[in-house]
This record gives sequence, C-alpha cells and structure tokens, in this order.
Amino acid sequence: MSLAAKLASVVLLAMAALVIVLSRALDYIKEGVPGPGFAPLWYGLILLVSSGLLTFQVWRRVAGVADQPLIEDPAARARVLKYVIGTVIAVALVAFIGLLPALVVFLTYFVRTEGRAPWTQTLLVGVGVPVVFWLTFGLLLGVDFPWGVLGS
Amino acid sequence: MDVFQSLGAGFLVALSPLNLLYCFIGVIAGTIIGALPGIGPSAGVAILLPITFGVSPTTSMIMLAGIYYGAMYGGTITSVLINVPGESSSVMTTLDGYQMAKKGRAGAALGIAAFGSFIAGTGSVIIFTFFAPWLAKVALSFGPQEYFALMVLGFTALAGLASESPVKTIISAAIGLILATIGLDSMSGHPRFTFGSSNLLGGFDFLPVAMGLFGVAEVLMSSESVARLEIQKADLTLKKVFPTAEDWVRSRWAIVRGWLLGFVVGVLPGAGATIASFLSYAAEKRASKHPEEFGQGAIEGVAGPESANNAASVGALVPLLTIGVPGSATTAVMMGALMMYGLRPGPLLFTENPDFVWGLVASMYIGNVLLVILNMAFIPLFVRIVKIPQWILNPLILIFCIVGVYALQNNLYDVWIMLAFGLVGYIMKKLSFPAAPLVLALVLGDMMETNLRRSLILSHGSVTTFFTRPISATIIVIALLALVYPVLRWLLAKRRRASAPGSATGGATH
Repeated sequence: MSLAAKLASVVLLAMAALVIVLSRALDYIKEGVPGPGFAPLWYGLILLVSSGLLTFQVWRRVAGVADQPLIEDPAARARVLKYVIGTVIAVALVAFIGLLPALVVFLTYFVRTEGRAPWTQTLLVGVGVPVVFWLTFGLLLGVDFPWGVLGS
Repeated sequence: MDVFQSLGAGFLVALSPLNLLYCFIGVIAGTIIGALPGIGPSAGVAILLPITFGVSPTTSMIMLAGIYYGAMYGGTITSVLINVPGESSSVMTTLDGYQMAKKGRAGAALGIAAFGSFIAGTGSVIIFTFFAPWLAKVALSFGPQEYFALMVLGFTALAGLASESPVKTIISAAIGLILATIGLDSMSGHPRFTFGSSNLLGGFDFLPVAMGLFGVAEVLMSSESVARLEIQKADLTLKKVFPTAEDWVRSRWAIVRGWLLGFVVGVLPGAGATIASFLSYAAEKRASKHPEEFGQGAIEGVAGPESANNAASVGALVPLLTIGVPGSATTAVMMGALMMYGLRPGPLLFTENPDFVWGLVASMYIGNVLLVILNMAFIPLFVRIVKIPQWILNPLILIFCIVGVYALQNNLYDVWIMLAFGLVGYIMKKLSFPAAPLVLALVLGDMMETNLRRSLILSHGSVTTFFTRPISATIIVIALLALVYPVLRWLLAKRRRASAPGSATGGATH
C-alpha cells in the first residue's frame, strides 16, 4: 500500500496549498474583525503542517519498500470495481429510465452475478425490494421518484 | 417543573403509539446493525435516517437513539458466536465471550451481556435524567468563547484518545473543517470555494457525506472478501440464556463498574463506547482474583465491557443535548439530523423543546426494556439475520443509501456527492484515516467558525479572550493537555522500545 500512502500524502499537501492560496483571495480581516478568509486560512495551515508531518512519516517508513497497489488481491480489486462501476451506472441510468427501473436493473445484476441465485429468486429480490422501497419512500413518505423516459 | 414532572410528561410523549412504534423499529434495527459485522451504529443511523423524513423530530430522534444503543446490544451476538465483533465496541467481548461459547456457555455469555447492558443502560439513563438538566442550566451561561473551546476540546480529545494516529485524525478533522467552509459564509454572506457552481453555494449537506463515508465505504470494504460466517452451534433457549446465580455473583461488580466507567467515558468528547469497553475490560482484569481466567472464558470479561459500552452510548448523548457538542461519530450524525429538522442542540432545548428532550429520555427507559426482552427471547432470530449473505446485504445497503440521499432534496446531485465521498471514505479506510473526525468537523465547522469569529469580534481581535474567562480557559487547557498526551505517550513508548533488550525497528508498509 506504500504507493497509495505516498500519493495520498502528496495529494493532501497539494490540497492544503490550494486552500491557503484560495483563502488568501478572501478577506482575512474585514473592518477590524475576522473576515471570510480567516478560518479557511488557519484550517489550510493546520492541514499543511499535519500533512507535512504525515508525508515525512510515510516517506521514511516506506523507504526501500516495494510499491504495492491499494488492494493487493486481484479478485478483491475486481469485486470492489464491480460495485463502484455498477453503482455509478445505476445512478447514471436514473436520469434515463427512472429510479425504480434503475434499482431493479442494479439489484437483479448483483443478485444474479454475485449470489448466482436462480432466475426466480433473482427476479423476486430484484423487483420486490425496489418496489418495497418505492412503497415506503414514494407512497408513504411522499418522495417524488424520477421516472426518466417513462414520465411521472 | 421538576425532573419527575418533566419525565412524566416525557413518558406521555414516548408512549404515544407512533413513538412506541419508532422506538421498537429503532431498537430492532440497532440490534441487527450491531450484530452485522462491518456496519457500525454511525453507518446505521446515517443509512436509516431517511426513513424518518415524514415524522416529527421527536419521533425521528427516538428511533435514531434506539439504533445507537440497540447496536450496543446487538454487537455481542457475533462477538460471542463467531468471534467477530459486530461493531468496534464489542471487540473486548470476543476475548471471553467466544471462549465461553466454545465451552458450551454461549447462552450465559449472551444473557449476562443483555442483562448487564440493560442495567448499565437504564442506570445511565437515570443519571442522565438528573445530571443533564443541571449541565444544561450551567451551559446557559456559556458564551461563544466557551462554545469554541468545547469544540476544540472535542477535536483534540478525538486525536488524543480515539485514534492510532493523531496526525491522521487531525488531517481528517481539518478536511472536514475546510469542507464546512464551502458555500456562503454565514456571517458575511460571501461565497467561498464555490468555483462558480450554484450547487456549492449551499455547501455540503452532512447526510450525503455521512452516508458516503460510513455506508458506501463500508459496502466497498466488505465487498473485498467473500468469507462466510462460521457460527458456533449453541443452545439459545430462554432457559440457557438466563444467567445462573453463580454468574450473577461473579458479574455484579463488573456490571456496576462498567456502568459508572462507561457513563463517564461516554460523556467525555472523543472517547466513546469502544474506549469505555477497553477500559472496563482492563479494570475487570485488574480487579479480579483470577486474572489468569481472562481470555479463557471469564464471564466478568463479558459483563464489564458490555455494560460499559451501553452506558457510554447513553453518556455520549449528554454533551449533544446539553451543550450541543457531539463527542462521537454517531452523535455527530444525530446532531446533523437534529439541525436538518430545524432544532438547535444545546441548553435551550431543555426550555424551548421540553417535549422533545423528555420524550427522548423516557423512550430510552422503554427502549432498554424492549432490548433486554428482545435480546433474551429472540437471539435465534437475530442469528438468522446475521446469516444474510453479502450479495444481498451489500446491494441492499447501497439502494438504501441511493434512495435515502435522493429523498433528502429530490435531486441526483446529492447522490453523486454521496458516491464521491463513498470512494473517498473507502480510500481513507484503506489508508487508516478515521472518517468520524471529518463528519464531526463538517457538522460542527460552521458553528465553530461562527463562535471563533464572534469571540474575536467581542474581544476586538484579541485571542486572550479564550484565557480570561475561567470556564473557557479551563477547557482550552484540558484541550491542550489532550493534544500533548499522545505525543507524550509516543515518546514514552519509543523510550521503552529503545530500552527493551534486542529491540529492532521494523517498517510498516502503508
């Protein structure tokens, strides 16, 4: 995990620098009292010092250690990616086919591919669970579910 | 109105059918969440918060509190039966609880844990009933200096007590504070870090961030493995779950000590149920005439920590409700929920919303009774729920997160924010950054900045204002000590390592 740790420490340092630069554009003191740039500047400085310390710790600790990916086991990496990509696609689908059908597609896919469940069980869970969610949130709590091309 | 009258009125609120129903849902959901390894109470509260959108803040908070202390009960089940803690405050229970299960005494372990939790939980609610109104009265005299000092204490205590790496805790809190500054500045109305985006003008809502960091990140973590839970076979009939007279004799002082220690630790900002259970286990081992039995199935090793974590979960509600400063991740999420409902946690709650405060307090008495019954009679049912395979549970949690966050404002932007924070939370977990300080800072950030700036306006820019007021000065000194403590601890450990014979330094790889 050394590569990720090193990358994270650099990203944090860059983030701290960005916050400091951006907060310098805001008023630090306005009419004699702390302005909108006061707190962000201090928070940026705290982040800079602490991430500087972390960078020092990380680079000293991982010196000479071979770089490792964030998830070492390839199978675990594939599963995590599957969840990330699956969820992103499901949320992207909401705009086109609506929330309820997108959830049906999402759940059906996971139950079928991850659980290797038979089609009857897959469809029961894949359709039944989103319908329960729609009944609870859509009908009972009055949440306006988007319906995409299906219209509302 | 005296305490008894207020509590009586609170029971009238808590015993209304809807509040009873939500209390029941909360404690059941809490027990299940506690029992499921990987999902902690903060994730549970964040994920289930949206199902309270249509009800009053009192009903909502009754359910969320039920989830919180219910999770403390539920965590025992997997600790005892599978040697995997359902949530972090049940880690110590695995040491002796699992050993008891291997010796055929799983029922006794679960029974004493349930009774200990009930006694300590109810005892803590009694202390809360009398102590909280007094503390709220004291807090009425607090000015912005004291509030700012309290929030600083919250963060430094978190860094000093709760994390393996204080630096990572400070970084996490700093990121949360920076995120809290995004949007319109609440004092000057000036936009900050919005990059011209109208979506960012309102800043980040806490719910998508909390659900991402706690809910989505947990799912990604648990999706890494496909391990099946191996549950110890155990007789969990009611007769076997009731502790014997000998169990009671051995456990009684452990329960009392766990209760008192847990409550005090729970009240302290940043400490929480996990540290309470660790301290309780250490105290029991020290107090025992047979310390060699610890780790081999000593019932005191189950009774003490389980009592302590329940007491701590009640204690953690004290600073939230009396001074409006949450001390833990779960209470931070609860505070975010309160603010979402338009309530301002703090001393004024006791005078302006007595129905809310006392209804919640009364519901905790009822919730603890419900929990002891549920955890005695229905353990086999919870064990079956724990067996739900990951391929159903993980997508289900994700759906809960997507629908719940969408329901917040009926827009997909929040869902994308949640997914982004889910990824950030996952990376944070992999790199051992605690997520709780980030959420705590996001919830408290605006209030902390406002109090800091108000204090400086009142003192014409002089920072000595924090040291000239006695309460503020005392809190700041304690905060500084909390910050110095981990450095001292690290230096002492380093010196000890250096003086140990044959000591060698090894490199960790993350």
